[in-house]
Amino acid sequence: MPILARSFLPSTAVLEMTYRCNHECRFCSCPWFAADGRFPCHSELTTAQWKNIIAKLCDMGIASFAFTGGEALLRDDLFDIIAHAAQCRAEHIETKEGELRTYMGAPGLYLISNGKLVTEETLARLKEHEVNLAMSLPGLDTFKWHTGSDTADHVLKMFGKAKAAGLRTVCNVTVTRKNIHELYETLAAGLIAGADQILMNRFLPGGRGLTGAEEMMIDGPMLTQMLDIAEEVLTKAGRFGSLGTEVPRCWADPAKYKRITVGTRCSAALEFFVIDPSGFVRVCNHSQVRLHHFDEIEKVKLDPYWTTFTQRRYLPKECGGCRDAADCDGGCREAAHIVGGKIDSPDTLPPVPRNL
Amino acid sequence: MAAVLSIIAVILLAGALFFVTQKIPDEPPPPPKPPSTCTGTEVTVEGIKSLQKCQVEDLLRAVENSKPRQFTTTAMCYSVGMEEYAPVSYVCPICGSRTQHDGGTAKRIKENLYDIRKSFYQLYQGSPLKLDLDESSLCSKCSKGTNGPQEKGQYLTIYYADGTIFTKMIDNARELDALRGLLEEREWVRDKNNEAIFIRDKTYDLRKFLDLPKTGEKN
Repeated sequence: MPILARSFLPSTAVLEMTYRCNHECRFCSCPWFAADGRFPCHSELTTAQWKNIIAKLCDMGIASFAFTGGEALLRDDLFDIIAHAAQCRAEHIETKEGELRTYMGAPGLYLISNGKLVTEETLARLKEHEVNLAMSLPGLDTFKWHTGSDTADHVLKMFGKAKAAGLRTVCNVTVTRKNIHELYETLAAGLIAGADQILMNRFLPGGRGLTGAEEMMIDGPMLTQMLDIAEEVLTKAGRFGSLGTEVPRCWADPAKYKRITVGTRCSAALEFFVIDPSGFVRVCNHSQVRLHHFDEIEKVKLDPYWTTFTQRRYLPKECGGCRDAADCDGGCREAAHIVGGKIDSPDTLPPVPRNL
Repeated sequence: MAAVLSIIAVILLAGALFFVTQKIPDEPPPPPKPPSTCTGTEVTVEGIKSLQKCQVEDLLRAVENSKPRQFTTTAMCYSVGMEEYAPVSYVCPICGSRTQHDGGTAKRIKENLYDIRKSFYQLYQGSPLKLDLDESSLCSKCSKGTNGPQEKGQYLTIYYADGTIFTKMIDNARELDALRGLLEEREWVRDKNNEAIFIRDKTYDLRKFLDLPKTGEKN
């Protein structure tokens, strides 16, 4: 029997805890870092406001929270908020023995960090609340060029410490034209250091990354190269990984890869959504379109921009008639929106004519 | 001898290039309209502007009586692997509510929902037959308290001019593509995989689909 969800919201909420960051990543897509100030910052939510939002979201059926930023660890009250989330009860829906079932349990918790402030004490506190940890590793030799900060050594060390502490970790690698030459070494280093999984993202223009995008953007052959490298590393390591940002199916056939999951469908508003540091809802972290403040969350439900995503009314006209259209959104819709000016603009990797 | 071989090679190469570069042709324009055998008095229910059943029959009969045409198509095999389907969310386009589905319904949503919507939209535009696509059985909120169908899915309703209303669950977009071909009086149409659906080969299925008697049967 089908189950009516507790609300219209998808089951994962990405909570951008702060606008602040202690890295200056060139590839960062946080919209408030765009040099032209197109996404103004407002006052950040207080501890009490975040706790209230998390409690309400649990009532609305949200079963997973990902804490990010900016750099979430820059907030002194982060663990106070995480502790609150950990004691909330969330409804989980799963298929068991051929039937849809629900059960109440603690929400899944994730921290997405650049790793700079992660210490052994941080790891112990994350373990206390069973928080999964993702840390960024955008290259080895190119780490400083990409982040403007230190070297990769600290992040690699913390992957090892996290493993020793019993935490599940993900190594986030944003792939650019500048670090693809050392992608094999970067992925291998993350896994050898102790990361459980790899999450790759191809660089997509947005936020600070709008400046100098040309020197970081990868093309179609590089995308294939990137996936082939990841498949090779993961096969050798006996691990699995995924490509976080969806790609046009005409550029990457998911069936070709056994170890790396390649997404071709946008999951914004369908599987996750974002609440920004001042409490505004967005369809995804890439989006520079603020919908409504959480205080007016019900207005989001039938907001035209939101429903464009829930009903997939954004396929580029260039993809019209493509045989893969039912299983492909023509790449990242928000990056296409930012670059092309419209939600149905073609991806930075334009459609390949062979499928049309 | 070498010159003859070169000429043969050039011809073969040109032939190969032709097959490599040839584009899939556009759907053919409708042929001239056959004379109508629909002689019954037009009965229209107030407020409903649609085709009569016999007019749809006319279209089918014209296709069935046409000469078969030889087409060369490339066979394509699909390997269909059954997998365990995780719950799938259906977000209602009317009320915005989210319903979780599993099993066969989840599979249908995942594989066919958007294709069916797209094909219905193409069919609906300019269709002389009054049609409606109803997905409300997939939304637990919209279907609450209604005597909706047992099986959750996308339902096509056809309103014939004589007041007959026929509703059918759509399994895949090809059924709608074939109906579009029939109503637009085309010889064939393309489906989402760019494969041709020859209307003449689909008349049996279309009769079943449209709730019309098989050839030779009487109403």
